[in-house]
Amino acid sequence: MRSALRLLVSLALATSLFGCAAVAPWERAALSKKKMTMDPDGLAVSMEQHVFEYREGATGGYGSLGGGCGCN
Amino acid sequence: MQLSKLAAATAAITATTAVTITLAAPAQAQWAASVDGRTSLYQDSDRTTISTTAVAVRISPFDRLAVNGRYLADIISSASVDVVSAATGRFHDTRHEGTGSVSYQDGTRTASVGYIYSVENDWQAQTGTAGFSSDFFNHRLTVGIGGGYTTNEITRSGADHFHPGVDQVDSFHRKMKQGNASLDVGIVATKRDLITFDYTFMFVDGFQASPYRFVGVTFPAFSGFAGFTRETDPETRIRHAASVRWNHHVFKDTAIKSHLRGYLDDWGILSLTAGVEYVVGFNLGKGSPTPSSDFELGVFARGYVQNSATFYQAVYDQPRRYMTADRELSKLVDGFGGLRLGWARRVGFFDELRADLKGTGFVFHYFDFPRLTGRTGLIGELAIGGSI
Repeated sequence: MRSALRLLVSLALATSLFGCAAVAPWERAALSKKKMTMDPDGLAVSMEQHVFEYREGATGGYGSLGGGCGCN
Repeated sequence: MQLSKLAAATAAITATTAVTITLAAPAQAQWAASVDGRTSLYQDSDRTTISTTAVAVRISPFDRLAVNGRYLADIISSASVDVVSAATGRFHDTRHEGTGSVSYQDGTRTASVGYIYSVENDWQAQTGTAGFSSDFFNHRLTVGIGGGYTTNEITRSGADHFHPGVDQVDSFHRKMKQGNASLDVGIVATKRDLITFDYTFMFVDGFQASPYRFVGVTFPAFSGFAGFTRETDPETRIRHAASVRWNHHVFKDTAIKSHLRGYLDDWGILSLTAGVEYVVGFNLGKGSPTPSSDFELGVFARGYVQNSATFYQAVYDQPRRYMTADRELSKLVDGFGGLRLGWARRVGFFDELRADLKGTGFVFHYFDFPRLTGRTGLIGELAIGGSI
């Protein structure tokens, strides 16, 4: 599992550096839909995470960005 | 004392909201507000029932500022093997949580600060949070940092938990402090793909065992004599979690949302989490006045696997420095899955009215926890909300 974690971090770094495609603002209609938001319902997410945190050894890792189209 | 602090926190949130609205009103008449309520019922085969109800209010006195307040109550009734092992019958408890936050955004950058107060009969926690994020390259890249600091006050309730010979006096009072910092990167990968990466570092210092749990120790040299002693966990814990989330838009109004998380800590826990949700939007009637679908159906599944902490043993054959009877520190695997039906529509005075119905089933399997090899359960949720 340690190697899987290393792969995850490497993938993150690689995509962050090279993955910013030149998608123009008028090409983001699909991305701006609510269902494309990472966490469309903050209340539901926090209640769901609470269930996991009290029943599993792991926690965290899902950040605070939210956002729907990679922008504020 | 504790309830008065909760009341004070709620009053502070209300006062902050009122002051913000008053100050902002002359500058800009445009304002927005939303109210959401959500209730859930959790029931598992380990004889535990939890009812959770939460109400969240968001007020934006003008475009750039938002003030958020939330109240949540957990009502717990349990006769779990954990509770029975602590020589107690079924217990009932209520946890109250109040949250307040303020965020400011200018279209490119977002900054927020928040405060959370949580209290139950044997636990009290206060948390401060702060976050900042900024867009780059014409909003194609978002980078965010965040952090939080929590102080916990832990006591022990009920005379049942005082064990003469084990406890000198029943004046149990411990502290725990937690800090966390996160780095997030969000990118617009293609016209149909959003990807975010997150790394979270967490540090915990203080009492982390259960004040109610006892560990059995068997001495083979004395014909298997069994004794019990209080659970002892290390005082510090360093935790790392990293995730990637990928939302892909397919067809006309459908999305596939997936995530993968890796986690490790210095107690020896190593885990992987993976999940996926397939979301479909649709209209029941023809000629809907709204540009997007009124209804949304989601099908989701999530899996989790972890190994055990290095000091965890199902049975201890001699007293050790660290001993635990916590099944969350044992080797386990779990799976969650279910359906979600959402509805949202502009109705009269409201910019949006919305409702959400969700049903989740789950199963846990413990590989090395003899008192409970597994548990199953259901979670039902209902939410309604509106924005003006």
